[in-house]
Amino acid sequence: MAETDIDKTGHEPASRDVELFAHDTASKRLLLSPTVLLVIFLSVVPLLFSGYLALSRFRFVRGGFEVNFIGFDNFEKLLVGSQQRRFVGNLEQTPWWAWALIALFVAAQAVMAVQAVRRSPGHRVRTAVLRMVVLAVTAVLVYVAVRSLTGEGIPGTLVVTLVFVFLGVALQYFLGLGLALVAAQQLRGRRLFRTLYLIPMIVTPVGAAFLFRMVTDTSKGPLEPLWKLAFGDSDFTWVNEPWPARIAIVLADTWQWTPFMFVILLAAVESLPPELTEAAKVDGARAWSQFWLVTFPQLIPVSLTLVLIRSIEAFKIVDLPQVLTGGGPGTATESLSLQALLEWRAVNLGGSAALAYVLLFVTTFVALLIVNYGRRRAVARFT
Amino acid sequence: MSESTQISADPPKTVTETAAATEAQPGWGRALFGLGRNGGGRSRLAHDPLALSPRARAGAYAVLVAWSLIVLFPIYWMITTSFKTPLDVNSGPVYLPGVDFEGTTEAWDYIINEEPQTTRAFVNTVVVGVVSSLLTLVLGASASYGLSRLEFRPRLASVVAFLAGIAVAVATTIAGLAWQMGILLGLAFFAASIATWARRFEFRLSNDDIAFWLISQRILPPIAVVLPLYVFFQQLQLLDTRTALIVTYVGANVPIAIWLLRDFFAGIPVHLEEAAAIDGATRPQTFWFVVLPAAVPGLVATFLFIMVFAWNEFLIASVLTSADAQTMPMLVVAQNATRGPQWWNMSVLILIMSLPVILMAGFLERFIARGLLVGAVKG
Amino acid sequence: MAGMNLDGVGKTYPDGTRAVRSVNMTVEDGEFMVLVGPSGCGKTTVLRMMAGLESVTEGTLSIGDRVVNGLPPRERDIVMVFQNYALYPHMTVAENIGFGLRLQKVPKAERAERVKEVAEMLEIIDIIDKKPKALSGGQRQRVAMGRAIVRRPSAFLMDEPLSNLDAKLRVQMRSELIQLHSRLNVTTVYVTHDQVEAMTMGDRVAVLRSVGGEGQRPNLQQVGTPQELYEQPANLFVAGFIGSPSMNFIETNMETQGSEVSFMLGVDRVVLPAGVVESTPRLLNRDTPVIVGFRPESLSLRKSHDHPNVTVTGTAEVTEYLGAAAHITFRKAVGIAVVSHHTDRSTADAERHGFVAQVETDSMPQTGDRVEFFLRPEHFHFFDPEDGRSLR
Ligand SMILES: Nc1ncnc2c1ncn2[C@@H]1O[C@H](COP(=O)(O)OP(=O)(O)OP(=O)(O)O)[C@@H](O)[C@H]1O
Ligand SMILES: [Mg+2]
Repeated sequence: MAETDIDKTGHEPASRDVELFAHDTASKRLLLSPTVLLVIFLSVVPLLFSGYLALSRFRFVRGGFEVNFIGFDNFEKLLVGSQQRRFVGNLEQTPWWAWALIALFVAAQAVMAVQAVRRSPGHRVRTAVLRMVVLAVTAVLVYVAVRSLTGEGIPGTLVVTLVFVFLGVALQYFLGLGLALVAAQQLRGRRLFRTLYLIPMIVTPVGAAFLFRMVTDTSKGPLEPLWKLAFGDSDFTWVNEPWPARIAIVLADTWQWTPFMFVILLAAVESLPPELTEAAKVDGARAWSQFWLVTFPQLIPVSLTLVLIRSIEAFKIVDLPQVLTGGGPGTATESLSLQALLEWRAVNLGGSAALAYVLLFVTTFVALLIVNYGRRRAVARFT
Repeated sequence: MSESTQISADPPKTVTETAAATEAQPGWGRALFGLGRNGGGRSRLAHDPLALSPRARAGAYAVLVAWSLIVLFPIYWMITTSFKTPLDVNSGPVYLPGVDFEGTTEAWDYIINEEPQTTRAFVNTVVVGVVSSLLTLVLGASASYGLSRLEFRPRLASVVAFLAGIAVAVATTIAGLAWQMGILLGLAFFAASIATWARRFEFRLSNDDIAFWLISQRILPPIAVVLPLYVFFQQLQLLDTRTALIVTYVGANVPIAIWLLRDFFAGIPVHLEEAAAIDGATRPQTFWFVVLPAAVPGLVATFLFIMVFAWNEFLIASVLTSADAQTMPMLVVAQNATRGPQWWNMSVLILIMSLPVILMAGFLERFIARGLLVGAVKG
Repeated sequence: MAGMNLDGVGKTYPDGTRAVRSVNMTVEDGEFMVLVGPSGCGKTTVLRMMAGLESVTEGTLSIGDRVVNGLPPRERDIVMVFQNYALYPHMTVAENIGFGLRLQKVPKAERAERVKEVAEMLEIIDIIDKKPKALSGGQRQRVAMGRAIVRRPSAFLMDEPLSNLDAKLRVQMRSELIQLHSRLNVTTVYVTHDQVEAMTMGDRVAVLRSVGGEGQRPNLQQVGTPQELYEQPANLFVAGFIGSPSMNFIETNMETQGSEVSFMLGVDRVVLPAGVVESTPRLLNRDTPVIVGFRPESLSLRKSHDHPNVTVTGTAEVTEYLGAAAHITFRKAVGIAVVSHHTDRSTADAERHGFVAQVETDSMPQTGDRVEFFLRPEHFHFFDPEDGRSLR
C-alpha cells in the first residue's frame, strides 16, 4: 500500500454511507440491529427492573414474591440508616490536618471551577452548573474518604472500593509502564517475556485469589519462614487485620492486571516513531529527560484510556475479596459489588439493587471525570 | 512481534470527542497492515550506536527476570501443590518435588477420574467460552463494520419512544399483568408514539452516539443486571442452562468487542473494497476475501480477550447456574469446603482450566498487542 | 471494446453536495480521454460514476450501447486504477493481479498464464511473489496496472495513477502508459490535475471546472484535442488553465474607428490587423469592455521581421532563469486590470504575479529594467467579460 493511503484524497468517509453499499438497507439493518436489541434486552431492560427494585422492598411470600414500592428508603438506609456504618463507614475523631486537607481540596477545586467558567464565555451557565455538580460530588467523596481513612475513622464499602480502584490501578499502571519501557529495549528473548507476562491475566480471578491466598498463607505457604522471621511464633495472619487484608487484595489485583497495562503500553511504546527518541539522543538528552520530555507525553492519551478501562473494570471487583477474605475481617475488604452480592444472598433484593445503582453512579462519575478532565485535555495537548 | 506496529502521530480521540470525528484515521490503516517503516524493532542491530550499554542491558534483564519470578512463582507453587498430598500441604511448606516431598498424582487422579463434575464443568466452560465469544465476535464485528461503513441516523425521538415502550412493558408486568400482555402494550405504545409525537422531533443520533452508547454499557456492574436476568431466565425456564450463560456473556462482552473492533474496521481503507467491487466481487465476496483478511489481527485479539472474560467469569455464572451448567470457576470455589480449602484439588482445577487459554495466547501472542492497541488507543 | 457516452450526467452527494452537473461527453472507442481540472472540480466523481462506485443522480451514462446507470461495477466490464493503487495488502503481487480472474472463475492454469504474461509485459515478473508492502511506489503502480490489464476490459478508468510517484518516475511511467495504450488500444479515461500529463497523453482532453457555489454551472468547459484547447480555448477558464505559465489577461475596451479596430494595452495602443479582425467578427463595433489574453510564450524580446508586431512595455520585477527559457514577471505602468473572476484564480494571486513573459535566455533583462516585448497580433485571444466566452 502506498504511504499516502487515505491521507491524500482528503474526503475518505469514516461513517458516511459508502455509496457502494448505500442501496443495501436490508444488510444495513442486519448489521447493527441484533447487537442493539441484545444490549437493550440484556442491559437496559434489566437496569430498568433493577431501578424499580431499588425503590422497593422485595419479599418472598407463599407461592411467589411480592414487591412493594417504598421510594428512596433503600438509599436512605445506606446513607443514614442501619447500613450507614457498613456503606459509608465510621467518621470519627478526624484529626485537624485531615480537615485541612478536605478544606484545601475543596478550595482548590472551587478555584479551578471559577477559572473554568471564566475561560468559557460561550457557555457560562452550562459550565457553571456542570462544575458545581462535579465539585459537589467530588467534595462529598473526598470528605467521606478522608474522614473515614484518618483518625479513628473506619472506611465503609464505598471508600474501600475507591481504595481498591485507585491504589490498584495506579500500581498496575506504573508497574506496567516500567516493564513496558524495559521490555521495549533491544533485548534478546523479549517475546518470551512478553508471553510469560500475559499468564496472570488468563488465570481465572477466583483462581488467582486462591493462588494468592495459598502463596501468602502464613503457616502453610512458601513464605512461611519469612513470616516466622518477621513475627516470631505469634499466629499473625494478614487476613485478620483490615489494612494488610486490603493491601493483599490490591496486590492480587495488581498481579493479575498489570499484564493488561503492560501489553498495550508496550505496543504503544514500540509504535512511537523511533526518530523522535533518536533525535532526542542526538540532542544529548539523558535517559530520564528523554523519557519525560519525549516518550511520556506521547503515551499520555493511551495511558488515560487504559486507566479509564481498568478503573471501570476495577469498580466491579468482587471475586477477589470474596475468595481471598470473604470481605473480612468484618467488612473491611468488602467492595460495593460484594456487598450487593451478599445482600442479594440475604434476599434483600431492594438493598442490593440500590447498591448496584450507587456503584453505577460512582463508576460513571469517575469515568466521565477521566474522559472529560483527563483524556480530552491530554489529547488536545499532546497530539 | 515480528513487525512492530507503526502508528503515526494521528490524534487519538477521546470517547466523547469521537462524536465529532468523521474522518478515518489514516494512521490506523498503516498500523493495521504494519505498513510504513519496516519493523522499528528489528531493524536496529548489533552495531547500533543507540543500543544499550552492557550495564543497562544487565539491569534491564534483572528487571524482566524479577517480574518473571513474581509472575511465575505462584504458578510454580500451584503446579507443585497439585502434586502434593493433603499432608504435604498441611504440615507446612515444602518446595521441591523429589527433594523435600514425593510428588503424587493423587489430586489429578481424583479431579479427573473421581470428581464427577469436572468433565461437565470443563465442557461447559469450553462451550460457553467459545460459543459466546464467537457470537460476540460475529455481532461485534458486524456492528463495528456497519458503524464504520454506513450511516445510521435514528431519530432520538424514536429511540426514546422505543425505550418508553419497554418501560411500559416492564411497568405493566411489574403491576401484575402477564408479560405477554405487557410486551403487547409496550409495542402498541411504541407504534402509537412513532405515528404521533415522535415525528415532530427532528434531532437524530449519529454513528458515534450509537458506538458510544454501546461501548459505555461496559460500565454497568453485572450485579445491577444479573438479578432481573435471573428472573427473566427463570420465566423462560432457562436457569442453569448454557444458553442463559452464553446469551448473558454475549451481552456483557459485546461492548468490548465493539470498542476494540470499531477502529480496526474504520482503518481498513474503503478503497480496498471498491477495488474488489471493480475486480468483480459481490458484497459477500468482498467481505470474505478483502475485509476479513485485513481485520484478522483485530479479530484474533478481540476473540482472545473476550474469551478470557467469558472463560473465567464467576459472578454471573454463580447466579445463573446451580448444577448442570456450572463452569470451572464455580468448581474451583467449591473446593473451598468446610474443612478449609482443598489446595491440591483447586490447583489441579485451575491448571486444567487455564492451560488451554495460555497455550492459545502463546500461539496468538503476536496478534494480541497489535489487535488491542488500535482500539485501545483511540478509546 | 466500447465507447462511452455521458448525457446530462450529474451527481448530488447524499449530504447535498452538488459535485457534477450536466456533463455531455462522448468517449470514442479506443480513445485516450483525459479529464483535467483543478482540485475539487469533480473529476474523480465523474470517473467513479463511470466505474459504478458512485450512483448517477441525473442523466444517463452508457458504455458501448448499454445504459449502465444502475449496474454494479462487476457488470460494466471496466477496470479502474486507483490513485493509491488499493492493492490488497494480504495478497502477493500474483494474487493481486489474478484476483479478478479468480472471481470470474477462470481456470487456474489459464489464470497463471495470463498473470505471467501481464507481469512480463510490465516487467514485474521478479517481484510476483512479494506482498505490496515490500514494493516501491513505481512497482506498486505497475501492479495496479497489471491488475487492470489482465482483465482485458472494454475500458480503463484511471484516477491520477501517477500522482504518488516522484517526478522522474512519473515522466517515465507517462510514456510507458502511452505506449501501453497504443499497444492495447482500449478506451481509456484518465483523470489528472496535471495539465502537462493531460496535454501529452490525451487523444482528447476534457477540461472540468467546479460547479460553483450555487451548483449552477456545468462542469464541462471544453472537450478537444490538446492543440484545440491550447490554440482555441473556448473560454477564460480553459485559457487560464491550459498552458504554463498561464495566459496573461487584461481588461480593456475595443474601439472601432472606421475599419480600424484597436484597444489600449496599458499605455500602448494596439491596432489589430485586418486579418485578425476578420477572423473575429464579433470584435467589430464593440465599444464595450473586452478581455484580451496573450500567452507568456508568445511574447518575445526580438522583433519579428516577417510579421506585424505589437509592442508591450513594462518593468521587469522578477526574472526566473529556467535553463532553456526564462520567465519574466513584469508590471505595466498604468491600466492594468488582471481578470480573476472567470478563471477561478484569486485576484490577489493574479495581481501579485502581474504579467509573465517566457523569453529566450540570451538577452535576459535585469530586475528593474524597462523591457519591450514583441508579440504577433494573431496571438491575442479575446473574451467576453460578461460570460467569459471566447469571442472567436
Ligand atoms: N462522498 C462525498 N460526499 C460529499 N461530497 C463529496 C464526496 N466526494 C466528493 N465530494 C465533493 O465533490 C466535489 C468534487 O470532488 P471530486 O473528488 O470529484 O474532485 P476531484 O476533481 O477529483 O478533486 P482532486 O483533484 O482533489 O482529486 C468536491 O467539492 C468534494 O468535496
Ligand atoms: Mg480526485
